Amino acid sequence: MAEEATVRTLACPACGGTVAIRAAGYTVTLACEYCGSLIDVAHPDARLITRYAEAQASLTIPLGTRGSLRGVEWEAIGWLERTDGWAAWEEYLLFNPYHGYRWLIAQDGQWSLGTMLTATPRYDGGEMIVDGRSYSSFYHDNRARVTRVVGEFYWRVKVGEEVRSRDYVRPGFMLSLEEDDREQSWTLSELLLAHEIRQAFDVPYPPRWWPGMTPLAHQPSPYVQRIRSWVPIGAITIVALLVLLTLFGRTMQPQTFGFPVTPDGASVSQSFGPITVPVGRQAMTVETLTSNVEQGWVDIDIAFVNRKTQESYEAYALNEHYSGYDSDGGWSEGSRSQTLKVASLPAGTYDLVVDAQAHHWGSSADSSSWNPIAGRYETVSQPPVDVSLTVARGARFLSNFWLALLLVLVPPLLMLVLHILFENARLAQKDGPDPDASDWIRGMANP
Amino acid sequence: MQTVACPQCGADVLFRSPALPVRVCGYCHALVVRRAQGAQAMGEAAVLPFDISPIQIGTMGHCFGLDFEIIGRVRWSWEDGAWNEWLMLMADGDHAWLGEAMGQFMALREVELKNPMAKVLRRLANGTTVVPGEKATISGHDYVVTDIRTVTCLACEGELPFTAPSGWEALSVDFRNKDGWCASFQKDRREASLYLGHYVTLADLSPRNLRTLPGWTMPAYG
Amino acid sequence: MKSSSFLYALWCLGVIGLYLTAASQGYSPFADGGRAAAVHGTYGPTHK
Repeated sequence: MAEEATVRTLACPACGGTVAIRAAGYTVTLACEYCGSLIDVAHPDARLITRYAEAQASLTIPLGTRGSLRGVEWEAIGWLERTDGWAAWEEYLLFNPYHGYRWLIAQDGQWSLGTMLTATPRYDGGEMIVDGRSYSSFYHDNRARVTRVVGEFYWRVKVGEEVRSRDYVRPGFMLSLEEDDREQSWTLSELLLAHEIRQAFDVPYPPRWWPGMTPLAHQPSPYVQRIRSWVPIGAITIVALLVLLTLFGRTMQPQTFGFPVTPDGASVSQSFGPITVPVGRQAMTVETLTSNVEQGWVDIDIAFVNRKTQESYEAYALNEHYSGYDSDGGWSEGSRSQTLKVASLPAGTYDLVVDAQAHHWGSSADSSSWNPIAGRYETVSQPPVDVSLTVARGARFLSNFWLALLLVLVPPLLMLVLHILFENARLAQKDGPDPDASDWIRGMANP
Repeated sequence: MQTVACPQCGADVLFRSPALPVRVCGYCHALVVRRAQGAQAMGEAAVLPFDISPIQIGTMGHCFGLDFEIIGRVRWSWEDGAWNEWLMLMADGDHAWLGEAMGQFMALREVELKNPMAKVLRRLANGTTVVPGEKATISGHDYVVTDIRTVTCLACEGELPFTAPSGWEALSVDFRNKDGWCASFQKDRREASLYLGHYVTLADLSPRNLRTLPGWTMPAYG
Repeated sequence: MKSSSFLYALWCLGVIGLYLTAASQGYSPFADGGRAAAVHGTYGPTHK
């Protein structure tokens, strides 16, 4: 039974009238309702009452509050605060005479429901097993000490009381062993979702995790579920984009034009047409081919000029080829053909205006020879370069696909980065050997 | 919960929790102050609960494959707490015990403490201490020591198979294993005894005639 | 959880929509020429 107790009334020492308890925030005063005088706080009964009321006022869940968790009504009957030297946390003792006791553990604004086990966990391969689920070691060689206690407990908890503790975790759950010289007990706690704890007791919203915060040892990464459910959506989107890539971008109705250009000669300008864009907007693919350019390059400026509006859509290609011999053998560089893709030509009839200028690499001395008739060295013209253009309606923009792919991947990659930051911060608190791949894999398991 | 008479007007004043030091009398509005023995330690130490249990003498249920009726109780206390041991009269005439502590129930039957004995039990019988976590193999099953206390008998009620001497003191050691089985070793001045059984929940017992506790809804059992 | 999947699906639909719009207009931000991409690349030889 609880200790023997004496019961008496507290009456105003001045006038004998009824005393009332007044609470203003955390401060509690006892005042006489008749003469208004305050009861001296040194009065032993007054001190008892005010200390209890003030302790209660500072609690998130006042003692005596009832709440319904998982279909059972519980009353918060006691509260204590403990520390292990690194972090501090609070524990409420919940009671229901027909269901026994439970623990409500509050740390960093997160709430866990703890049940004391009656069967000891099994040890298997470095992990503890309870009900077929395995828990891996997180804290060991820990000591938890009570720093404050208010209310009723099934044992007389005292400030300064210390136990040795060890904790094992799996996402959303913590298995704790506490022992001292006289007893050993195992408790299994489950991290409660915000809506569940708030439905039962009126507590503030558990804070959302942001990079820089340290998650609890058993806090599950909020990003795993998200990534898992996003992967099929992303995969379907990528497949759809691939389908679209093949559907769109066929080139149609190719037309070919060609003309020669003399290297180091004047720029040649030619106009070809008509090139029709029947409807809407279309891209054009222009392939420039200079099959016989050698030791030189050709600047090719093209412009699609709308016959009606005279608006011009321009692009530039550089075709070149160089070759030679050195100590490693023969080499060649440059590309004799380029593919230009011109975007978004509005409907209409166009002329393709081409300006080409060919250049020969090297000094004019390479191309000079003695003219006996003139009696001097004269530059000799290079053989002409054939410029051939193939214009087709439509263009396959692979770059659009890559851009779309990147956009699709950015959100899941962002979630992955956040998950890595979360788990890094969480596992950094782990005692013992450094976290390895198995810790990361376990962190991805479903709670 | 404890109901006291208001010292001023005599009306009933209910103290739901022993930790609560004050209630306002519903009739005369006087502040009724309840000072427990450990009241000075408030904030430094917890207060023990009132002696209330859902089990009472006359509660009936089913355990060890037989129907039973609770016919007696022993209340043990240790330095910082207390628990109940309820005596079950089984349908076959034998006795069994229902230990109730921390809201957990151990259903136990006395077994003969004879050789071969687990090493831990022999040491206990000889008066040597053990520590929590030590392993013991009892009747072919592996157990672990979970609790060691020196206890005093606080109260007895109902029919008991012994007369409790005054100041009855004993050493009580509890064991449990991974399958939910438990054992209890008790040694007092005269003798040592061993009990084997398993943990049960109140629902497991299909209880009838539980004590009604004001302010709490009794779940539908049986 | 569910609402985030919905939002991501909307995002993906948006990307597909953007892609379709670009394809139907024959547009690309990486096109070599056209009204939007009017900047020329380097003139002259690009190899030694």
